[in-house]
Amino acid sequence: MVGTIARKEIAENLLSYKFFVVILLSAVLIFTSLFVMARDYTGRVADYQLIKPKPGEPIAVLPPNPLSVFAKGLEDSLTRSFEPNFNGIEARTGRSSANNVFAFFPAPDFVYIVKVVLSLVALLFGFDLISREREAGTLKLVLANPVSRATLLFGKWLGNMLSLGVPFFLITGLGLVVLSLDPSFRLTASGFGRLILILAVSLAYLALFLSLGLFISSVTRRSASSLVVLLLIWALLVFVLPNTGTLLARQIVELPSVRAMQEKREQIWTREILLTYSDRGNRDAHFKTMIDEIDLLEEDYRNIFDRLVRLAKSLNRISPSAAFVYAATEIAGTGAGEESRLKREVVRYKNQVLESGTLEGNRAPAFMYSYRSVGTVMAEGGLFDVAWLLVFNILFFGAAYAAVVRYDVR
Amino acid sequence: MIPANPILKADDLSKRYEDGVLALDHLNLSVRAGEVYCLLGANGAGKTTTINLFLNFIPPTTGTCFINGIDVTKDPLEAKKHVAFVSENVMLYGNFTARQNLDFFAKLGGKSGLTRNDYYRVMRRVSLQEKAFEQRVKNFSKGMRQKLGISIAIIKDAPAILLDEPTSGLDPKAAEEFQEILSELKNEGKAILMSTHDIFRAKDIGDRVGIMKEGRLVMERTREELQTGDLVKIYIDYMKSEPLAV
Amino acid sequence: MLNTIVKKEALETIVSYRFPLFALICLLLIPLGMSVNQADYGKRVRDYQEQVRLADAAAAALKIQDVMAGTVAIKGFRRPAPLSVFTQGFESTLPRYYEFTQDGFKPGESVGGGESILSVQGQVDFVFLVQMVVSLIALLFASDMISGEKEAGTLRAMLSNRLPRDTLLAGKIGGGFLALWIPFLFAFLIGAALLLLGAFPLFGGDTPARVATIFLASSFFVLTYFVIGIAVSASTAKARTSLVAILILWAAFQLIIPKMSDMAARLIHPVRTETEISLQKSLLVRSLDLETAKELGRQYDLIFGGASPGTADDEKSPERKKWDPIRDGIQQRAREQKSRQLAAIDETYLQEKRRQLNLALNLSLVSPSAAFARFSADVCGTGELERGKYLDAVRSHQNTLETELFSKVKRTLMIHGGGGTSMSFTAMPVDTSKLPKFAITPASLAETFKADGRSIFSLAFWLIVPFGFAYFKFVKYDVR
Ligand SMILES: Nc1ncnc2c1ncn2[C@@H]1O[C@H](COP(=O)(O)OP(=O)(O)OP(=O)(O)O)[C@@H](O)[C@H]1O
Ligand SMILES: [Mg+2]
Repeated sequence: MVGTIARKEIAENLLSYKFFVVILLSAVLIFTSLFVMARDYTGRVADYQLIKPKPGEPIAVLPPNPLSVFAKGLEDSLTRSFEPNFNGIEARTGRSSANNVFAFFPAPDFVYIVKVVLSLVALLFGFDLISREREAGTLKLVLANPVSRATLLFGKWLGNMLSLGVPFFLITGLGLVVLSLDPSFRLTASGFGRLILILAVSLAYLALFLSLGLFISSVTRRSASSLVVLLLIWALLVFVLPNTGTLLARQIVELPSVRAMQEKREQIWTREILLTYSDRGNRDAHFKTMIDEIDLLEEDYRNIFDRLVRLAKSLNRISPSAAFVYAATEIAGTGAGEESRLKREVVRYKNQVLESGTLEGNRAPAFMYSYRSVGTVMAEGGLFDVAWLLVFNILFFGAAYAAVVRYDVR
Repeated sequence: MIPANPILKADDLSKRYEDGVLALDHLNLSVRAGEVYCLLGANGAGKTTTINLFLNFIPPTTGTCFINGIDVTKDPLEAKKHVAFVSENVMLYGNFTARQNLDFFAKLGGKSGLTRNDYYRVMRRVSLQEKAFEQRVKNFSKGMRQKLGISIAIIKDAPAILLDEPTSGLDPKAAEEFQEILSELKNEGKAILMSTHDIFRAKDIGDRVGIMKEGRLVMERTREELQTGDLVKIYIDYMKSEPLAV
Repeated sequence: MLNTIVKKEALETIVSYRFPLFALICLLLIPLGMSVNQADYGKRVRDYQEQVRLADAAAAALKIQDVMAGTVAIKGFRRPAPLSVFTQGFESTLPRYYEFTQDGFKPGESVGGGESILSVQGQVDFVFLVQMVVSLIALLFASDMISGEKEAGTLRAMLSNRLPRDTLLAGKIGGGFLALWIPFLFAFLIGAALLLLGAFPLFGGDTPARVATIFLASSFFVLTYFVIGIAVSASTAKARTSLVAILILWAAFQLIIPKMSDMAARLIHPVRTETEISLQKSLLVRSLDLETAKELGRQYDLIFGGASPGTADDEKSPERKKWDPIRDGIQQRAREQKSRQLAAIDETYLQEKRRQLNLALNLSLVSPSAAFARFSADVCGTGELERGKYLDAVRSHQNTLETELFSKVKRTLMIHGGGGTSMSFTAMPVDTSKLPKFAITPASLAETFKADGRSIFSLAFWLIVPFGFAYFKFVKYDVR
């Protein structure tokens, strides 16, 4: 029975012009995004070849991450070059790939398109599933048959999920095939695995919007009003809520200002430098305490900053869009978790370089960094975000179920 | 030659809506196999409510509906296997052709393995024009959609059929043909409950006719009893009289 | 008659279930966005002042030797734009400062750089809210103003009276928009009041004019979307269809056109990356310097080759009299050649970039949203105009420093015939505390209007054309 209903839903979608307009639009967007982001990536690879440290140069810089084509995240910050020196670490922005026209907006990567446009598409699939059938009177006809409302709901969900998911995978797959024709874009097996995971998370994200659509369409009588309500919810979930957490967190957690940081740094510096003059014998020891204390200062700052980020993230997760972006970027290795790990690794590298005294002689050890494995990413919060998305799915579908059972079919 | 046990049976059925309107007031009614029962009554008398209760679209306040002996509230899915339904003014799936609509509902009704010709046969039977078979329902006229709705009920081949004002919007010829289909179905042994405003046709086709008023069945006559009286007059009289004192 | 319609439309909008939602979103988000951005701005200003103080202190103690050795850099800071409380624009992507050295200038970290983690989800400010959220709501309110009334049958009922259609349309637009505009105005006023409470300099200089401009532009922008919604509603028969159409249009204007125009511009006019350019420049500098050093060495060897040791240090020797002008000539020529060639590289790169940018800009102006975002960013001093002014200021400051400071330091590197190298420094005294300060001349409001002619045109176009279209469609609307 579920099969019959799902098949009917698919057939109905295939016969509507809305479906084609929407799918075509998504296809154009996804293709252009992949294409442009891949070009951006190859540009950055070429740049990396130029700025890549020569053997022995004490510079830490990561090569561009191919998955940033799909989830740009903090890639620009991750691929900066970090140069250790006695004052700390100097970070240089490589090439800024910010948009020309709209630096106001995030990069048009795959994750952004899923987050904003495809979620809207999922809503367009779901918004009138129940209310339209009521308007057309077919709901009564269907329910006059031995079909339970749960079956009907699930059949509808399944049919629309397939009509949404299959083109989604086909389009992305096709895009990938075209991308793989470009020799400078290479995904390793593990990279490919991560990509599949990102796609799966995207699907979970879209499913949640479909369920939301189903839910709203079964608490409203008219499909026009369900769309209006849904759009307001969508704007809140996608644009407003994912930021309010950050705004709030900024008010709660006070970051030390540049002034405070600078003053403390100067105090340490003057004290230890003066000591190096009066206590010439222990010059190296004083240098070391100075470096350590400044490190500690930075560490403190980073800890506060990390707390701010954590709080902002937790608050932002009110919106599934935020959870989705976090999960996708972390899996891709362009997320905040990766960034903060990289920074710690860079600090460690700096100490290694300073201790070995190879800062000047160009005999420094090379900076080694390997991205966290998918397992670690999952353990360090990725799984939580994915589970959170599933919770939203269950919540919305459950709500839809509760509403459909009570729905007045007349 | 009417079998004794009824296929459709309303037992002490009452319905009070959430806003307090008492739409049905202890209704008792039964339709046997091979019988056509016509429900008459003014707008708002409770006809649609009765049919909705039979389909478990709304829960009854008191009483029970039985279809083929199955309690509708207890086992709605099983009960619905035994009943087909034609609603008033159905839009159907606009982007599907007539045949696709029919196909879908046939499958829902548990009829699989039907061929294109089976569908065409049913649509011919309700005299839908041939060229409409493979056309999208979106642009059908009200009557054409109604015919398709009837063919959906026919193809399910259930022992009971519920019709809510099926002839509204049909042209005279189509209404005539519809009447013939009903008698064929009746001869096949279906139990048919139909709400209608068409007194003349009710008199012609109904084996029994009931008149509802304010949720109560105020009159019930068999065909034989009606042969003698004028149904129109009876109807008007009932409508005029003051609410019956219990 | 018109009055009756306006009143009815306003009332109908206000009593609809979406209105409280809308009012809540406006009254909550807009003031919130403003005051949060103000807190942010305050923090940026404090950081700026502190950094400027530090940099000034460093500059006062600046020694010419440090400049020669390249151990200290002269920095020029950009003051955060106060009106960034209304729109962030490029505010967080612009470098906080530029570093000036003998070899040119380079950008420092941007404001957002260190804290980019926090902006993964994007920014929320007044202009963003108007552009994305309020516009969507305006569309939604307009979407069923005509097709919905048709479905309900009230359109027929109204038009069966002596009521001209254009009056009805005008009444609908006027009444519906008024009902939206009032809460919007209140939200803005509350936001402004919060700014004042936070001691924001709202009444200094041309700030009031700018703020008024932003508010007017936002109002017109919302009206634009409202009228577009009406136009779509008047060209569809069902409220549901008009909603879907409106949604696709909205997505196209807000998300697709601005993004696509950027993508298209990058494809049509690809530009080399900045790293490539700076590498090219440093390669050029190195090879030119090498050539100069060789030339100097050759001349030096020719003159002092036969002379006794010590003549090179004797200022009065004839060799030295001959050598000094030759050396100065070579160095002068070399400097000119270098700056010419570097300028040429910069110029072509700049042109490439400008061409790409202009294309992207022009394409994006197809969308009123892009036009609105650009215009308001420019009015707030966080837009393209500011980016250009910043770079201009950096360039001219570099030139000033060149003449005032860097040219006072001479470094002579020679490579002799045998392969040996020698180096000498000469430095003239410079009073570093008298060095000119870095400053950006802000664009005046008139200048902004002139520079944003195309954006304004786009906005006007999108206001007038849907008006005409809605009128045209509504006059012929099938009311059945
Ligand atoms: N959802 C509802 N909520 C409250 N009251 C309702 C509801 N549906 C119907 N009613 C009331 O129940 C009564 C019976 O309505 P019903 O639709 O059964 O009448 P009907 O006989 O089918 O009328 P018609 O000939 O117009 O189709 C009416 O008084 C009506 O107002
Ligand atoms: Mg009825």
